[in-house]
Amino acid sequence: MNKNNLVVHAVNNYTKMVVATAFAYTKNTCDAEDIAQEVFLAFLKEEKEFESEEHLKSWLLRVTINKCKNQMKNSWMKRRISMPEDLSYMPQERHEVIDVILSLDKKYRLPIHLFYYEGYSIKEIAEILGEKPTTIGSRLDRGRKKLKILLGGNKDE
Amino acid sequence: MNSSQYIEAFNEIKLTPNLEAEILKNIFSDNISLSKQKIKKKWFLKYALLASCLCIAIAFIMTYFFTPELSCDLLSDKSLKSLDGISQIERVSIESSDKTYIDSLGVKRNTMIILDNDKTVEEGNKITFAGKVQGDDIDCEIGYILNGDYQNINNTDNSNVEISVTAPESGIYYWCILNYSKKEIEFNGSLTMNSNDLVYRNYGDDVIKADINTTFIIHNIGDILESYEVEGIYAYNCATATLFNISSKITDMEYKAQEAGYYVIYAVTQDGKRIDLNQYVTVEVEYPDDEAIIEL
Repeated sequence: MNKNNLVVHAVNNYTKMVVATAFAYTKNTCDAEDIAQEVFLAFLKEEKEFESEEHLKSWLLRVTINKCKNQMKNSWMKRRISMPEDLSYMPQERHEVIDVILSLDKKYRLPIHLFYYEGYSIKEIAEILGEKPTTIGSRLDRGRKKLKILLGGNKDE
Repeated sequence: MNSSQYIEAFNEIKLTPNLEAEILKNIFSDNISLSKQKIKKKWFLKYALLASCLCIAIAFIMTYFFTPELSCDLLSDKSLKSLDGISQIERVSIESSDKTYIDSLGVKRNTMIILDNDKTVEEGNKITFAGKVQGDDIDCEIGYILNGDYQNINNTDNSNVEISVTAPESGIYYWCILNYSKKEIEFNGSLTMNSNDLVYRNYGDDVIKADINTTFIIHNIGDILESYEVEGIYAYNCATATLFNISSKITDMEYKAQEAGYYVIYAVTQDGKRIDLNQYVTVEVEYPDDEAIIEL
């Protein structure tokens, strides 16, 4: 597969994943889409060979998180007061889930997103985020407890 | 909350329609414009490099081929052309005496300094140019200008300079320092012009060497000058350029030299004619007892 075909393949299969992760970080769909475009542009320019789909997927997630971090460091972004994302079109129950997730600190938000949405293990999340598995484990645990309190559900869910 | 609730909630978020197609369109067009930018940058770099090389070449040509012409009324055109690497000539007046001290004379790079003391040096006189050159990476030349011609005497990369020259002919010797070093140099020293009598001078074959103990005697001077109307008899000291009036009478002559030197004895007639008498002169030397030495 040549590079262009590989990029088309990646965009078609992983755009949703990249945008969702970026959204979990930036809390804004427009920013998330912009970041997704930057991530795939970086992928187009990347000369590295990927060993497998999993390798590609985790590379895209790492780049997405780095791009999000860079964007949030931007001085214009720091001064910006973002409007809350209008999710009124969503059913109430799903809207609440998103609102609760986005209300968490990002150190809990990202592990929870990668755990629930992407189905990664603690070890894999630790590799993607460049943290120790024990750190990710404890953040995940605390994040879930906070979610439970916020959603008023069962701790074990 | 379980993962399916989470996934459903996130999948429910509305994104731009046909986002994938939009992203593909944008990233491929961005990539092409980036490539063009890179090509433009490459061309810019090439042009910048070319322009830099051109500037260096022009500077080189201007320096080596279009250096302003040197001019100096003390130097002949031939000597001026021979001054390779000199871009400036400066004339510095120094005291006109037998020994002149030169203090802290700065010589800029690629400059020729001419020391102008406007003093005529007699042929055979000894001229000594001595001193110390200070500076980094000393590369200089010492020489003199005589009758418009520059004569290189010494090239030095040494800080100490001592040059002695016996004047090959009479004239004004303009001593010069030429600085080829990369930086300015400084000279401290002296210029000595020595009219030491030990130095041989040629006043002609017929002169009579004498000192204050010498007496010039001419017997039968009347016979020699009988056919002339003589105005006077004179002794001329070539060494000091002094004329002594000996006598106006044509009688036997005895004249004691007033000073050391090289003498020409002659008579001058009423009509201004000069009659050389050296060939008729007998010399007597009489030393006082306490100063007597035997001449070799």
